Amino acid sequence: MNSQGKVVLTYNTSYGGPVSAHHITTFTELPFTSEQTEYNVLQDPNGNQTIDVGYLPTVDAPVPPAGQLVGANPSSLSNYQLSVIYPWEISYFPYNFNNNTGQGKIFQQLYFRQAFQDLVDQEGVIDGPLHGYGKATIGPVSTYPATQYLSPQLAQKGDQWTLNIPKAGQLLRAHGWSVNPNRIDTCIRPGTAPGDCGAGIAAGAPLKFTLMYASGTDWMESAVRELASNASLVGMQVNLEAQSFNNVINATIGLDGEGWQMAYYGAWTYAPDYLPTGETLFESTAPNNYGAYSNARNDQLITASLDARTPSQFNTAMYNWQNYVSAQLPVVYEPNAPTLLEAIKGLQIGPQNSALNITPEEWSYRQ
Amino acid sequence: MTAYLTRRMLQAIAVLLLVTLIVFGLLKLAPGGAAAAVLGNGSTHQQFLLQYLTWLGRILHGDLGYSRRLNESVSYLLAASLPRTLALMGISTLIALAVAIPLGLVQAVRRGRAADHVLRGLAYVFYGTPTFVLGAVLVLFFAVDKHIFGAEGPQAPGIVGVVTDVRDLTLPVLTLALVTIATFARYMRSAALDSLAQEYVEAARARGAGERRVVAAHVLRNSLVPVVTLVGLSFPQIVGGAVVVESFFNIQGMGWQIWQAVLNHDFAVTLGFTLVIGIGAVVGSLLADLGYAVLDPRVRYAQR
Repeated sequence: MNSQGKVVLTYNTSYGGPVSAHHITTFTELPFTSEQTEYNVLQDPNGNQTIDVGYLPTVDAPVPPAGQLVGANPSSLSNYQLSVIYPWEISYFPYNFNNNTGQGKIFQQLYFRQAFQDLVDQEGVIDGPLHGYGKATIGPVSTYPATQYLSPQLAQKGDQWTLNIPKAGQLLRAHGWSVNPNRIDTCIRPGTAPGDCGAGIAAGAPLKFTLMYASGTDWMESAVRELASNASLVGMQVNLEAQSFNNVINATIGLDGEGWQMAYYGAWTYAPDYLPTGETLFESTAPNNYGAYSNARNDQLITASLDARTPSQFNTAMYNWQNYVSAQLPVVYEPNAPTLLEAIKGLQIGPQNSALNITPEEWSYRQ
Repeated sequence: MTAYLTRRMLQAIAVLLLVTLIVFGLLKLAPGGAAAAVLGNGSTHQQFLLQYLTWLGRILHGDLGYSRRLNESVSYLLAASLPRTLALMGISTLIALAVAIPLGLVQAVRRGRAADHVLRGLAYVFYGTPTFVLGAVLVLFFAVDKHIFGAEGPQAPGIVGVVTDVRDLTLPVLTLALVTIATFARYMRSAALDSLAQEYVEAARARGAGERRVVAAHVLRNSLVPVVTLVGLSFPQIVGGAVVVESFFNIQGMGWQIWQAVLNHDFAVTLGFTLVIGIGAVVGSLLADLGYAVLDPRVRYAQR
């Protein structure tokens, strides 16, 4: 591996286990400065660096026909075969409930989280920048690939927070905010009574937030821009701050203090802890509960799922937990985007696993 | 001349020290980083100065620091990035000069005629086109559609490998050169128009000199002074790279590396690369001053 990020792996000739007669002898990982750069090279078959297995940015993918999972390949990639991999993950971004600049108290209000989720247009992002590839996130368990872990009730309901800007405005207005489209809303009824802004929110507090996001993925950039635009229609100002992935992670794990408000790093893949139970992400003491979401009932339900003795008990506990926590909106749900993999014809890479692990030892090539 | 050069060298050292001090200070003010999380962002004035002087002492011993993020020395990263950037920026600047100087002269000599209008229009188009748009158009046509040139820049490690990879070097160089030609040509045209209106040009014509001789011997030389200034000012870019073009063409050059270093709070790389770019700026400015003296004897007289 060199400092530019290029990695070369060669076949271990001492290996005595079973291998295909046509196994590959060298596996090289090439670094690219952006997904668009990689796509440009993928389309150039005469280049000094040709790519045998690459990725198709969703923004460049032809839209699949209705009801089909995979669409056509772009004409420039006629020598490649396209496959779609939905990782075993959920896509979301956390609120920082511990935020020390005033927004944390606002995030703690369920009505606010409901209003904010109403501003997220998951279906619009899937139809738009994701070009029909993607599934809405509706709770802590992914809806695709379909598994026994997903609550049937949730699966039946689907996305309960489809884009609804008027509803978001009504929710805010009903809880003491002056809703002024294209101006910043402020709290006009501070207090904790029904219809007030909520505990810890002072009169005149603005609905003004900073959403830090990991730059470099075209569809994510479109999604956050659309969210900021939708928010402005109900008088909420969402300032977008593009950062490197590392910086977003640094902020969410608290290396930059507790000043961060919302941070979108991408998705959480359930691997290597494949069971989508809540103790890793959503329990009050969970190591990856970066936003410090805390809810006693949620913790009890997670514990019940972990204490289950039989598969049946486990499934029931999982469904109870999901039905509860999904409605609590501990994070902002965003669409799950698949990986669009392009493999050059003749190269057999086998079925790809949902944890996105690469297994070149199983690849073989026959023209 | 020697006294002038000595004075300028001393000024250059002072400028470089100031640049490093400012960058060091700004980086200290930036939040974040694992060390900051453990030790806290705040530090005393004495700690800052001590850190700066320690870093400066290492620089004087040839140690530019070590990147914990990339697990490489800054010198190694410079050696990997600088050749790519120098090749890319140097060649595009040379091409721009070779094309823009005659273009500017033609425009000035044929002022108000069809050639001037057409060339001026083209210059405006390229001057106003962002490099990422121009690069995308060139890649889509020449790489993706026609497969004539590569979609990415040269990936060879050394400068020889980069320069000889014509297929991959062409589009990034062309992207930069077209924009630079537009800039240089506009300055050259303006300077040549000024020169054409000078009395020494009229005097040359009165002495019976032909138009070609007037342009080549009198207008060209005197019109080059602003272009030399531009080239001198371009030195930080020639050394520091073009972030957008490097990023678009997958070239891990100076610009791309320093951008990544800033984003990732890579203190050592940011400082080391800034120092090298600062040296480029100082050297460029010095060469431009020397260029004035060569082109215009009046500058030399004024220095005495």
